[in-house]
Amino acid sequence: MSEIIKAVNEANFQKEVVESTLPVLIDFWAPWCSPCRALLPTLEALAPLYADSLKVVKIDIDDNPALKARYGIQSIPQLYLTNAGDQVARLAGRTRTQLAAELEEFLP
Amino acid sequence: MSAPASLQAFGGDPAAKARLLERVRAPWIARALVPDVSLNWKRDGVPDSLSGTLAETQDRATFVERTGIPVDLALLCETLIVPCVKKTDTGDDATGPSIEGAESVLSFGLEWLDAVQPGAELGMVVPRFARHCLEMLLRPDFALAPHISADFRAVGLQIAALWDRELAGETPARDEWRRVRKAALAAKANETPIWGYRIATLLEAVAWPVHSISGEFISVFATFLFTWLMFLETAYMTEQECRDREHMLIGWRAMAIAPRDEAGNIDGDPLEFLPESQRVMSMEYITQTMERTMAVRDAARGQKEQAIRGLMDTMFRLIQGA
Repeated sequence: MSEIIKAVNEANFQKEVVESTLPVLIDFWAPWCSPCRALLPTLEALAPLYADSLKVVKIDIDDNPALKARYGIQSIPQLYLTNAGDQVARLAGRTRTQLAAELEEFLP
Repeated sequence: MSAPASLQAFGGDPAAKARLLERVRAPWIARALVPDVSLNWKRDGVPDSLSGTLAETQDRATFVERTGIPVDLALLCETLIVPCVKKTDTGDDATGPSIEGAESVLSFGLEWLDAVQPGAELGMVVPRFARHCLEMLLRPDFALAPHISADFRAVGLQIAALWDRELAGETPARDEWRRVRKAALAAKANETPIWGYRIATLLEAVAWPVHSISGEFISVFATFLFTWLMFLETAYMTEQECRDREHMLIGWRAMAIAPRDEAGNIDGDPLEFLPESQRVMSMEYITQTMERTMAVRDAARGQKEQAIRGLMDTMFRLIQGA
């Protein structure tokens, strides 16, 4: 279950996000954030649908303040679609249906 | 999407079931656990929940590993209890908070666990419960039926038809699902009648193969249930109070769908052009109407508990039949 969405931190960010050959959807979250925990099953259901075209990762903003600062995260949950670490879009959907519709605008 | 991987409840071992239930039986009867939609176990400042205590974890994967029960099923059972529970602070740090509520509802906390047969495969219980809910809310005599738009009713019927084919062993084509989702997005939840908004949101969220929706179902179901129970209270309200409640829902919806800036903060005041919503969401209004709100809540309690108990009985039968 938890391995569907890889936990990324400041140590593996370069390898998992910046050097990823696929676009990366980053879920900025924290364990104390109830809406973040509610969103996780949606992302777990979404990730396998795009396994060939998208990597989905999560970043705990409490444990990774430098990554929080890098993306200017001020509220969570936040979903950023990135390419080589650069932000391509902020996804506003909170259901799988909405997120899939948003992703289809960006993914091949 | 394939069916969930097979799990055996309590690893098929009656002794394991007895050992795990022993952890929760006494504290649940003492009303010392607080049901929640999340797994809470030794979480800072948050009281332990039933499922968190059962597996002594707040991690979803660990819960499944230790109990053999789908975590979404456990959390859905707690979600059914949550609306009928009142949490009270005992003022004692050692004992923590306590809960109170009708015995007919609170008893479900142990009933569902006792009903789980060691070795049962419970992966289809949540999908079947979701199918039951869909049928219930699409019935013409459902309390909120007049508030479901024709477009969303059509979406609901299409989802039900695809789910039935799946449950009968068929695999509907991806394009069939895409068409339903497109219809759901086109129907736009935020343009549906205000009491039907959460139902529209639920239908939009579950427009996927039934085997794959367990995890997402809980949060949309919880908000749907909250709305349904609030609606049941309107039978005990004056016309003005009913109008006020609708303005409150309009205000909540405006807050939920308000445009946000890049940091996710609400851009502007979503209630700026909704003076009535602003009025009924003000602290002044809430304070002034508190006593009356509590009286309405008390008057509707029996009807709400009956609705919840009906859902619990369905869940109980599904668990027993698994």
